[in-house]
Parts: sequence; structure tokens; C-alpha cells
Amino acid sequence: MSATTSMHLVRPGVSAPGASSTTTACNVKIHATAFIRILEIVAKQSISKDKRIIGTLLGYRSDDGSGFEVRDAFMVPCDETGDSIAIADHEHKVSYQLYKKAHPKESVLGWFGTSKQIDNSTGLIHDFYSKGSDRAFPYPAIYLNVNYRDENDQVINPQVSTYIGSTVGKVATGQKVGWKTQSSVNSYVFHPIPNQIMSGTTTEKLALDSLVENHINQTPTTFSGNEVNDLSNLKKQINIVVASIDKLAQHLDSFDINNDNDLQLLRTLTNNLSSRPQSLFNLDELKKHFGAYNQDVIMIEYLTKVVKEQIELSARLTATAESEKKDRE
Amino acid sequence: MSVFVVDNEITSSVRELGEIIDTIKGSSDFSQSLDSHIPSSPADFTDKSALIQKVYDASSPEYLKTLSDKEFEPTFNLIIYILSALQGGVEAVFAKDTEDKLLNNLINSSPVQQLSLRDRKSIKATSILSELTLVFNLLPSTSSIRVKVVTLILSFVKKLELDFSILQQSFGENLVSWLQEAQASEKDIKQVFWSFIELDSSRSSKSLELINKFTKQYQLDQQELQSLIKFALNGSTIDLSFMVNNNVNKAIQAHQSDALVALFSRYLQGELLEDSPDFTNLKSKSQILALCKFFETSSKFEFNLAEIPVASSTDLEVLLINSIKAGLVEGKLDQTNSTFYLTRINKFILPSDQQAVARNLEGVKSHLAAWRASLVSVGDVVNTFRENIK
Repeated sequence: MSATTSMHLVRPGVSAPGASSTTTACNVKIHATAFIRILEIVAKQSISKDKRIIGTLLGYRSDDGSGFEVRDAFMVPCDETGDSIAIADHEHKVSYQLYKKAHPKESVLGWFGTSKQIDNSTGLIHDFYSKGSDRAFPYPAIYLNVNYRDENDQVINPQVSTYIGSTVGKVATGQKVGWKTQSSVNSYVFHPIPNQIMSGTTTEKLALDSLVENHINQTPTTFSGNEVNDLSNLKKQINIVVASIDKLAQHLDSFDINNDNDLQLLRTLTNNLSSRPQSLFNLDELKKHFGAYNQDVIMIEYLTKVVKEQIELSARLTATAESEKKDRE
Repeated sequence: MSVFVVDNEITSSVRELGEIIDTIKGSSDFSQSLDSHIPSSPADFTDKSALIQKVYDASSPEYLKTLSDKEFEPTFNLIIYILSALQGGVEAVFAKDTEDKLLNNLINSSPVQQLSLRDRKSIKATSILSELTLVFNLLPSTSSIRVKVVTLILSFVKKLELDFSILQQSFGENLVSWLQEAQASEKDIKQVFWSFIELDSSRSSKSLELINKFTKQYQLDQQELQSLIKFALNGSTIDLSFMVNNNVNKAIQAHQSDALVALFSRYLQGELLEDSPDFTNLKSKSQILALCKFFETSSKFEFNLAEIPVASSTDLEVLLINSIKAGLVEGKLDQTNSTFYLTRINKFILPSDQQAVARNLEGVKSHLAAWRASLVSVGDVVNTFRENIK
């Protein structure tokens, strides 16, 4: 995690009844796919720079309530006029219930927005997500803000900040007026909490590398299973390692004993390079191992194909036998 | 930065505070005393100072201590909000509060001893820490008051003997940059940093890394060097060579006559040392280092246990296992044949030993060249097999 100007030691006191009594420091982990989903929503919806875009964050909450793992997100339409804001509650409910069918163990963690600053509407939206069914209640909601514009309204690299809200003054409770219960809105102080975007699986990394590479070379992006599984990927990786070694060797040529970082680099390299696998330096042995591995892979592929064809053949024979039987009857 | 979002007018917030204090006192005296200072409209505020004084009165530990833990934070949040709204910002509140009345009231509201497990109502120490954190986050990063808040947090954690892990992550990564941004003097930065490190009673390796990072930036005087040595030798980390950066090396060279510095130098050289009242596990740690030193100077990889002179034959097996556990040695111990086959050891690179640095640098360069050559061959092997598969 990089240095930050804000401090976070313990989870602040929250009014949510389901919040754990332990106040361990909070941490928000955002899956790369969820982050891309949020950016996609933001990119598609930013028709007007003043339009507020909000959505629901979904994922897991740790047992002690200090860890939040954002795995997905969806947009919730909202309409902001002056000081008031209307959130499409029905759309939120329908989308969440649909999501819940496919991911029964995940729940609403909070919400995301794209505001340049925290304002009164932020408090209202946070209150919406902190109360009521199909929202974060009875657990505390988190707020994730993606700022993608600078002071001059120029688009910048998206900056993610996450907050948890603690109540200011008395906790607002429903007031009974006749038959109706009027609920009032809580006041909040938003505390920044640390977050990290989790790097994805190997397949996701390969896809991302390919996207970046294609973007740099300005070539169209194509993906196929063969490309990933092919040995060309291994060759590409070897070339990357060789390039890194060249860079490292070049750096060591200008080694300066008075530079602490150089000294630390030398310590790391000395202690790690001595335990290299011997087979890597013996070409004949390497050829033998690599050949044997490939033969194994080819054999497994061959056997898989044979079994698959036999199953298909058996299915066809059964179908033919049944149709002949019907014809006879 | 923390941000308040309060939908009410300031007068409503003051009345809300009055109601809270009334509930504590069991009478409406406080609200009534506030009424004379609250105008019908926020724009008509004329004499704010009397109202501010009333809010300070409401923040006294006498009232705050009677609140439950759940009520404490929202109430103190409200007090900070009202004071900042009345005085034009949080920084102004703490700049004008020259006697640190608010911060002292906050600290004095904390329990003086650990709460019983049965006690689920009293204010927890973590709630006080949460409020101190809030004050810190409300202040701009360039505000010098931030230094005061950090110092208060450290003394609070020390006084209540709270777990160091609460501070380690956030303070470890950011403390120096916070202090630098708040324009603290070098003397203050050093003082705050060392008082933070002293809180780590377990002398963890993470704290050693923080010291290393810090000493790369700041030079050490004799006292700081002694603090570093005491901390490092009392911890469980055995290989301390990574701590000797150029600044530490300079300090060691400058204070070689100091007995503690001389002891540290001998330890780093891999000499066998005895335990002392100040350092109770020095003997076992130095034995492991001496073992590494012995392996480093030997040119072979297979050793009979009898030819390893570091410890007696009975202790040697335990010593080898401990050194493997510490990650300084890798190898196989054959108890039947009483042999040890070495595969890797940690080398201790110190800036003072320039010959060893040059030797290791050459070694690394040759390893890298061999690795590169073998990788190119791997590429050819892959290509050949790729053709065969197709």
C-alpha cells in the first residue's frame, strides 16, 4: 500500500446494529473485475459532467466486519435536483435480487459514486444504503468514490478512495406520527479507510497484458484459447526475463557502494541466486525433462480425445438403437 | 481527509448537544443555559465566545465519562463539528485552544485500566483512539497540530499499554511523511519516530525494516545508534546485516569506542558472544551467525558434523535446525551418517567490508550471465519441441 495523508488505526464507532464489537482496522479489497465494472459504468454514463453516477457494491464481509471484499457492482439510477436526490429503489432491489440468485453468499457492502467532493447528497445516499432491507443494513455501509476529473474538469487517472461513516450526534430513529413512521436522516462524518485493488488470476493478468500491449502497438485485441495455452506465451515470458536480466546486469555495472538501495539489491541477489535449480544450467537434462513433460501432456490430450469420442459414439449408438426399436414397434 | 456531512443548521446541532447533556445530568439546566446564546437564525450569531465556552464545558470528562461507548463517539463528533462550525474550521479550533483543553478532555475520558470482559458499556480505549484519528484526519496535511496529535496518540498507547499492532501498519508506512508534510523539525521527527519504535515490545522484524528505512533518510547520533542496537539485539531476528546501511555504518565507525557499538560490530562479524543481563538470547543468535560464517569460508558443500566447530556435537543438530528455521541456511541433515549437505547460506554484506562487497558483486554478475545463457537455451528447446508437436 502506498503512503497516504490520512490515518486509520481502528474502525470508528458506527450506528449499525450488526456491527461487531471489535474495532479492528478496516480494509477494502476491490477485485480487478469489480473495479473494471465500476469504471465501465462510469465511462458509459458520464454524459454530463454534473450528473451523479451511483451504484451498489457487492461482495463479502469478514466475520468481524473489518474486511470488505468488493467482487461486483451494478449501477442504480438516481435523479438529483438541487438539494434533493431520488434513488431508483425498485431497480436496486430487482438488480440485487437477480444477482443474489447467482451469488447467494454475497451481500450489499455499500455504494460507489463519482463525486469530486463529499456533500450533503453523499450523506443522504449513505443513509439510504445504511438502512432498510436489501441494503447493507444491519451492517455498516462503505462508500467508494472514483474521482476521474481534476479541478479543471479534465479527465485524469481514476483515483479510488473508500470511506466508512460514523454518526454525528444522536442516532436518528423513526418517529411515530399517527399511523405513519417518519424516519429522519443521520448526520455522518466520513472516515477514510485503506483500500487495495487486487490483482487478478494468471488468466486475467495475461488478458490485461495483452490489452496493454495491443493498446501500445495499436493492434486490434483478439483472444483465443490457443494463444494463451500455446508455447508462444512461455517464449514471450522467457524473453521478458532475459530483458530483465540484461537490465539488472547493466545496473550492476554502475554499482555504487554508497547507495543503500544498491547495497540492498546486492544482498537480495547474493542470497537468492545461490539456490538456483541445477537443471536450469544443464541443457541436456533440461531437454530431457521438458520432452518428458510434453509427451505427458500430449498423451493426456490423446486419451481425453479418445474417451470423448467413445462417449459420443456410445450416445449415437444408443439413439440409433432406440429409434430402430420404435420403428419396429 | 475526514469530512462532516450534517444536514441540520448549527443552532439545531447546539440544541441536540444540549439535549444529550441534559439526559446525562437528568435536568434541563444545560439546555436552558444554552438558550440565551442561541439566536433564532444562525446568521444572527453575535457573541460566539460564550457559546463556545459552553460547548467546551459539555466536553468535560465529567459528562463524557458517563456516556456509554456507543454514545461517546457520536457525541464527541458533534462537539468537534459544532466547534469547527462556530470557529471557521477544525484547524482554527485547535490553534485557538492553546491549552489543549479539548484534546485533554478527550484523553481524560478514557478508562484508566483495562475494562472487564463483562463491561460492555464503558468507553473503550479504541474509541478515544478513533476520535484522535478523526482529529488528525480533519486537519490539513500541512498543519503543525498534526504533530501534536501524533505525539498524543503515542503517549496514549504507551500509557494504556495497548497492542502495538494497532499502530504498526498505518504509522509504519506513513509516520515520516506525515511529520515531514506537517513541517516538523528533524529533531521532532527523530524523537517521534524512536518513541513509536520503542512501543514495539516484541521487537518484530517489521519494526527493524522500519528502522532501516528511517536510518536511510536520517543520520544517527550515538544515542540513536544505541537505541537501534538495543532494539535489534533484543529481537528474534538473527541476520541484522541488512540494518547496516551507509548512515548506520558511518555512526558505527564514529562511535567504535562505545562498548555497545563494539559488541554490535562483533555480532555482525559472526563472533561467538555470551548472554548478558541486557541481551538474554545473544549466545544462541551469535552461534547461528558463526555457523553461517563457517560455511561461507568453507569451499565445500558436504560436512561431517564433527568438523563443524561452532557448537558441541550434542547441540549442533539443534543449531542446524534453528539456522534452517531462521532462513539463514538451507541444506539436508543426515543423522544416520552425521553429515550435513549445504545448498544455500545467507551472506552478510556490510558496507565496511569493501573486499567482500566486490567479491559478491562479481559472483552475482557471473550467476546472472549463466542464468541468461541458460534461458536463451531454454528458448531454443521450447522452439524445437513446439515444431515437433505441430
